[in-house]
Amino acid sequence: MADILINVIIAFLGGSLLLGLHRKIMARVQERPGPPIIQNLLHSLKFFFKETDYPKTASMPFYVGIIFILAVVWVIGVIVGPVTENSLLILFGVYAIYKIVEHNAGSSSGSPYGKMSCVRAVLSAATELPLFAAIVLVYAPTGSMNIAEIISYQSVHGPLVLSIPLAAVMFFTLLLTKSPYSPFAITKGKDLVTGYETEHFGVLRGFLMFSESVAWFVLCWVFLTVFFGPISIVWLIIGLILISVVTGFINATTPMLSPNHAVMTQITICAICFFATILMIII
Amino acid sequence: MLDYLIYLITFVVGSIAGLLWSYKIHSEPYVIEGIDAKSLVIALVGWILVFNCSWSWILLAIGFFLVGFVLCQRPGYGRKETAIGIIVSGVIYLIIHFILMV
Repeated sequence: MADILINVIIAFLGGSLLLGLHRKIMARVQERPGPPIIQNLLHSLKFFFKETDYPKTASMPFYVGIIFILAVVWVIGVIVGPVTENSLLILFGVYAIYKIVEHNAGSSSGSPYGKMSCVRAVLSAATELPLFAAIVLVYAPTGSMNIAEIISYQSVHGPLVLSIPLAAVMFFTLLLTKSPYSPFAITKGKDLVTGYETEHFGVLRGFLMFSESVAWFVLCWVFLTVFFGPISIVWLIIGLILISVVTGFINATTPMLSPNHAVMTQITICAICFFATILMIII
Repeated sequence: MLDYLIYLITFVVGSIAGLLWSYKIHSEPYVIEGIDAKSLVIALVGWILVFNCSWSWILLAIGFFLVGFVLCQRPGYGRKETAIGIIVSGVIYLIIHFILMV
């Protein structure tokens, strides 16, 4: 239990700092000073002490419950990932539930922005395709979906990123989708204010930001562990920082795509990488 | 994992302290030129501890506090000091591990 608590706090603090760095990188690329790296964490903590208000149009208790479900979902992500190094399939389930929660958070507020974001959340389920395809391609050489066994496989045969690099590209597409201001972040497009989060205030927004930080940490951790094998804590930190820097740079220089273009781009990347990897394995 | 949590928390506390301190002493919004001597000393000590004191978790925690103190100052401040701190401590690390072979 203590291990879970420690890992959740690490994921929250680490994820918040990484998202703060991501925001800083975006600002520097756009020639702005940008907020301090700590700002994202301070922002999250601030909301826990703000007054919580509920819109008249909200469908209670669904409107409140869905946010706590989101937080629980990513805590399970921490347990399945860094704590127990369990199955990738459970993580796929976590991500699938996260998409459902994103959908329901938008619909439960009654806000037109939330509802539009809710519709786009259904479209953005296309991001699950690269994730599932990447998991399948990892299973092909390793014969396992257990993260601990995949790490053991890599300690003998070398990092998977060298044998199935396009599967890593697919997973990276998922990371890019999940990063803030991503070209694929259609559920939080600027035309929707903040999408499904628009009508969530105070403690509820605090839990939303908590979940986002934990989600970012867990997804980056899974990417580095599954494709780069048994890496030391120093290399893990360097990897986490590099992913945040690279995605920050991409997001700062890429416009947000329309929903149709975002989905088609993701599916195209997924299809090319999937079939090319199958060819690489066969040949 | 508890030691990593301690490092993270000390980094965060150092960052908040540094942010408050820099807002107190710098009223200008964004300064590109100039190096603050106090921040430079803090950054040097912090990064040298982080790079070279992996054998003591207390010294590492202090190092992360000092690193966060300078790194997360008000936007526009603490960047050059941090860069100098990283370079100097990196050189010291290389000298100790690859030339002196300690």
